Amino acid sequence: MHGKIDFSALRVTVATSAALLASGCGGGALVANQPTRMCVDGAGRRIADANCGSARGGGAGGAHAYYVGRGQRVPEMGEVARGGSTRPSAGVSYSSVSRGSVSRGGFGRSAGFHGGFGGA
Amino acid sequence: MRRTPVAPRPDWQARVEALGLVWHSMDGRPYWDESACYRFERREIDEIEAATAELYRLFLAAGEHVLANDLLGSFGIPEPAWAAIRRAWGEEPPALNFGRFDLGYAGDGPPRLFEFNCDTPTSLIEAAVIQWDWKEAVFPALDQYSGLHEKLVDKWRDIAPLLPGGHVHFAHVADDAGEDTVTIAYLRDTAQAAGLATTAIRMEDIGWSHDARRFVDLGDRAIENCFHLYPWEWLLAEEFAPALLESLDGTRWIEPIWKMIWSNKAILPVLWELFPGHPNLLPASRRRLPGGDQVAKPLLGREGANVSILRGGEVVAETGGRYDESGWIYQALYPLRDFGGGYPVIGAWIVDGAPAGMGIREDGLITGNTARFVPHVIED
Repeated sequence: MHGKIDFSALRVTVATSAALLASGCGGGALVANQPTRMCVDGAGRRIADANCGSARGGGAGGAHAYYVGRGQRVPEMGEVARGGSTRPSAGVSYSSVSRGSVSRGGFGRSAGFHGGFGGA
Repeated sequence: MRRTPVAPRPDWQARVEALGLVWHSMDGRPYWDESACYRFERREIDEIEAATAELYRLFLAAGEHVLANDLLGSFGIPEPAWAAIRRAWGEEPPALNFGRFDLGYAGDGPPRLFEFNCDTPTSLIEAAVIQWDWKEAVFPALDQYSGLHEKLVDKWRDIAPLLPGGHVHFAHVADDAGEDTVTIAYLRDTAQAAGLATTAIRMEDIGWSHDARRFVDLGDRAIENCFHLYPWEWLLAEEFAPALLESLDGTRWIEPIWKMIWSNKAILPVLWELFPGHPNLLPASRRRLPGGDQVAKPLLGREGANVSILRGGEVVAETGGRYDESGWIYQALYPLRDFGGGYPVIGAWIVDGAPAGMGIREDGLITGNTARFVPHVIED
């Protein structure tokens, strides 16, 4: 019941599935579109930004800011952050994962942050 | 309606992966199963299509009934959301308004509704893309009931003028199988085909700007329009729920919050109460049915979790899960027929009231996340 559909136009689908196959794991690998600041715990795992408060420095329980550059991977919640730095690069403006007034991590808990619910 | 064996394409895994279906196998067994197909006569497809349109009409009436009789509390929907649901039902904010009716059908009687998956329906790319590509390769002279892709693009085009900025964020969780991630990617393709710009965002990366009182993405850009492959009952159970309800004028959520009425299985007893004996419905109640074989389902269950089949008062099949705290409905047992590879359930798609195609999943008596997707053709 279709006319001719050009499935080669499914660019996002094809690119996403190719990336998933290449990574060998599930995913949603996300790269930062701009220099990005987030919050990690004492073990380096990404946690909700509220744990770092609005302070640039440390938060409760060893929580502290972590910085990744444009094009670097943004870890999932609970995943150890790699490839970035605990210190911002001089002269670089970082968008938040917590630029003072922005909180993140308020959605996703029901899915456990890892692994989808699989729809219905 | 019959099921016949078909030789799988030698390179079928690579072919379906190339079109996005990276979760084609599970535990060494194919989920996408092209070793067989279902063959339908045109009149059977007409019957399924007509039932789909009819069920949509019944759901419209049931939604009106739920609101007119203040039943949202009995659906387990939290009270802070009631006003927003009422408002959205009346104002109809932009939506794809798509969904999948799961139907019992064997070609020897009218299709019967099991449930309506209309908040976060999946098996989308299989129905819209993969099985059509298979048909073109294996049975190019035959037809297929498959218009979902075009209808989704048309609906995005229809609502695009109502989406400020012409940009839609697509929010999802990063699932291990890649199903949610690719389903979101496919929906982005359908939106982009309609001229919209899109950005993917993981649910946990959605930010709340305390200054602007609105949701923002990882670049702190305001989220004007957000498609979510994430159930409404989860959105409203999490930390950002108050912020979400506060900012509904700032962020248009697709699908809208009124979908909580239709996606809740408490709608099934309402339908039966309003339309008793309707040929496309099964008897359903919030209490055990007085007699006969029946199925117990949680109000907010997904993928066949926490479902029990009762024959003569005894549980003969059941599934585990984590959805057992939301309340239950009881639905008369439909006698699924085994066509030789398991029990098929028809997933009949609809986009804003227009029937849009179908997919078929086979499983045991309870269709869950171990089901297999089997393609179909129409023989004239």
